[in-house]
Amino acid sequence: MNKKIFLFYTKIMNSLDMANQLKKSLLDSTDIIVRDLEINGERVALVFIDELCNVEELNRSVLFPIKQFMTTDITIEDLRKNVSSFCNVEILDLQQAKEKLLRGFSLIFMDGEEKVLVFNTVMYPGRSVEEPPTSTVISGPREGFNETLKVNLSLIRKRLPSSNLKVEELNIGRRTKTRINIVYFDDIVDKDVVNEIKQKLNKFDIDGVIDSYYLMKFLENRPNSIFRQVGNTEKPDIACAKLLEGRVVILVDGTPIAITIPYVMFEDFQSSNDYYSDAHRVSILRIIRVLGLFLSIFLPGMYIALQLYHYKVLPLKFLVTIVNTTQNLPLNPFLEIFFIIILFDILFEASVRMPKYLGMAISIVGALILGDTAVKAGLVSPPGVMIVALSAITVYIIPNQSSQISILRIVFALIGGTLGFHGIILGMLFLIAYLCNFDSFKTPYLAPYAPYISKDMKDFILKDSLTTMKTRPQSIPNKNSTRLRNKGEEKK
Amino acid sequence: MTKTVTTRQLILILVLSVVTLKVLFLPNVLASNIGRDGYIMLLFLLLVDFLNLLILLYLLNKYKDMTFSQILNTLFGKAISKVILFLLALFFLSRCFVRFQTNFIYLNENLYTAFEWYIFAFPILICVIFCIKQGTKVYARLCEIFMPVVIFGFLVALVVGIFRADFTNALPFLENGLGFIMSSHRYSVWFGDYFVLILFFGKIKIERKFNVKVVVSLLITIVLIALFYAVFYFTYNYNSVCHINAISDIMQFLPSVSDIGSFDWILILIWDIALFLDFTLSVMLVNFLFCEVFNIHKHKIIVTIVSLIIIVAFNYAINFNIFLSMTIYRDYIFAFNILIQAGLPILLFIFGTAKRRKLNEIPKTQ
Repeated sequence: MNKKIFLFYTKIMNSLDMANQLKKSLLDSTDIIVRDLEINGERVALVFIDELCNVEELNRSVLFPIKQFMTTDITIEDLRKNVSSFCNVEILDLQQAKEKLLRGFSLIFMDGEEKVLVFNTVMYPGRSVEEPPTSTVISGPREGFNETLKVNLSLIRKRLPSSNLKVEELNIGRRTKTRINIVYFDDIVDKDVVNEIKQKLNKFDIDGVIDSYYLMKFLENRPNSIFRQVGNTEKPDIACAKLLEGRVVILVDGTPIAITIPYVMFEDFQSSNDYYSDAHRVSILRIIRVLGLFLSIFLPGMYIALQLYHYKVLPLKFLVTIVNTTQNLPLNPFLEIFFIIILFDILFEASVRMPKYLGMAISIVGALILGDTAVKAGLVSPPGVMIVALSAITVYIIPNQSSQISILRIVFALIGGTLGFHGIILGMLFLIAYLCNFDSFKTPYLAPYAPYISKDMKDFILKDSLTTMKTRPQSIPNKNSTRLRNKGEEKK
Repeated sequence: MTKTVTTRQLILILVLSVVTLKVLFLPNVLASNIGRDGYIMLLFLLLVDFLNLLILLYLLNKYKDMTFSQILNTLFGKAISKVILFLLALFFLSRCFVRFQTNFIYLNENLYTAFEWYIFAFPILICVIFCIKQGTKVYARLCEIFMPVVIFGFLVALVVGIFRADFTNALPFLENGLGFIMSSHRYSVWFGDYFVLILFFGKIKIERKFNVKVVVSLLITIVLIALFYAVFYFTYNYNSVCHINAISDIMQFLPSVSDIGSFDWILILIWDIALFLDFTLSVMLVNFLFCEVFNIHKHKIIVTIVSLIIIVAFNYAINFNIFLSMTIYRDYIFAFNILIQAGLPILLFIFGTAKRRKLNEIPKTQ
């Protein structure tokens, strides 16, 4: 044997050297712990990352069984077999073991063995399962996803113990190697949708994926649009309901936000509460949400247009009230509304970023002092403040659309100020024409209204009882449309 | 060819093209010229138009997967089909003039006190270009979203009118006979709406009971439009001539609480949408037809822009005077309109049937 190869071979076969070599390849990071141990006369090297490893688990499930079974002539395979009843263990080559180490696994190097024993002793710091702050409910499940992929998947699996639920794993990000799970029902989902998702996810090479938002942008057909084209949820019950509708759920490690695909715009008018409440009440709430959307987008623009161009439209008493409150204002209606919108947005931004204990003070300063003083100083009128306040509140009636609505209300205020009602109508037509062409993943964006899909109207603005929803949404492509059937009825 | 338009969407588009202008200025024109029996004239012209629809449906069913220009090529050969397409393009261009003008006057009458034409024109042209660029699928969806609102507005106006109208004004029935029907050609500019169907040939997803659905819904529309005229005239009687904008004027009778305000302006806004959609459809047709005539496949948007410039220039030249343009149409262009609205359908029917016979004869001889 060549001398160099022999020396290399001997070096590699030494457990401590192998462990140190591994540490060196990881830039001698101080958080990588290498321990040289002698167990029952046999030398082994233990490697783990202190912060990611459950040391208690390591002692109980790794070191304790090894001490029991270690003998001088035992092979790595025999040892794995013996200790596997105590913990999750596998034998991997050095490269794979290195990747596992970086994810929190512990490694055991044995003298004279090329391969490495890899133990699952992972313990990530993380939240417990809590109710997500963005989707609180009055009735229904309160569990929410957290930042651990395993937990999130288990929350879905426990609700859907079906043999047809398929999970596919991908790793995305050159540096983060973020674990991504694509979850779907194999017998319901349209395979073209899954393939399109995989194709889009495999198309780009990014250094890191920190949050599901990173992936959303790559999954969208028009990533520069203000309108999102993929859905998201923080609640496992919603994710499961969407899976049952034939959608695909994408879980990303490190984020509580799951992506749901395909997405239709009307999803945002639906709340998980809707499915745990009386259908009639839900219909009323949905009408209110639609009304809220219209108010939030068009109200400031219409108010400006009414004052500047169409005051004839206003009833006399209302007109007199407005004239009385606005006649001495230094700003015209257009600038007045803009001034208030900007004031509100500044207050909002400040209150979001302020520490909690200062938030209350900001609200008082903003709402009471600034607003009231501005009105008393004659800078803005009370109807103007009321209009913008109403519009600002209704922005959050559909929380998932709040960023789009905030932009649109400014755009429509501009249009209303320059062109009046006709401009607002044209702007609305322009906007809807734009959205009508937003089909993605074989799904029309404005379904079930455009194109009209009568079966899906049961869960549109006016919600029907759950007992009548016999088919899955037709707007979502699927290969098994039957949702509800009588027991014993043939599977379609 | 991809089927992008559903039966429901097609019906809504046809209803839009039939209803939009008929309930705005036409009732005033008919009231001024014919008076009490104007609804009979309206019904007569609508039914004549309806025959065109039946012929077009016949062609549509026969040549399910062919575009209109392909059908014309099959029936008449390439040269004649180009001539027909060109004439149709001119026909729709003239419709665009009227629609653009109507929209401008409508806004000036109802929403604005002094609306400059360029402030009106440029935003609307940008929106039209954008909609046309999105294609017929998006246009059909746009109609699907807004047409229920337009139909609702129309029905509300009709119901409000019915409660206000004095139907005894209908008597004496046909006091001057049916002679006024002879002057029907004077109103040809307001009709010929079903030709919009040619844009969707080859793109329609033909569903079960397609013909029945289309025919029934449009017959109902025709009856409702005639009823609307009757309601309008029987409400205002001789004063109808003073009420230019029928739909908005009828809505003034809507019971309203003065503290809340009247709601007729909501209908005015709804009709603004209808006028835009109708105008866009006409421009879309002009675009489609000119592109077919001149074999333009790549830069269709240039054709749209040129067409829009012509439309604006024409309207600017006549100072957006709808009465002047109506006079021009009535006195000079009616013959052309009749040629298209009456001559072309007959020609299509004869050639379509003849072609069918020939096709039927071939297997027999074989």
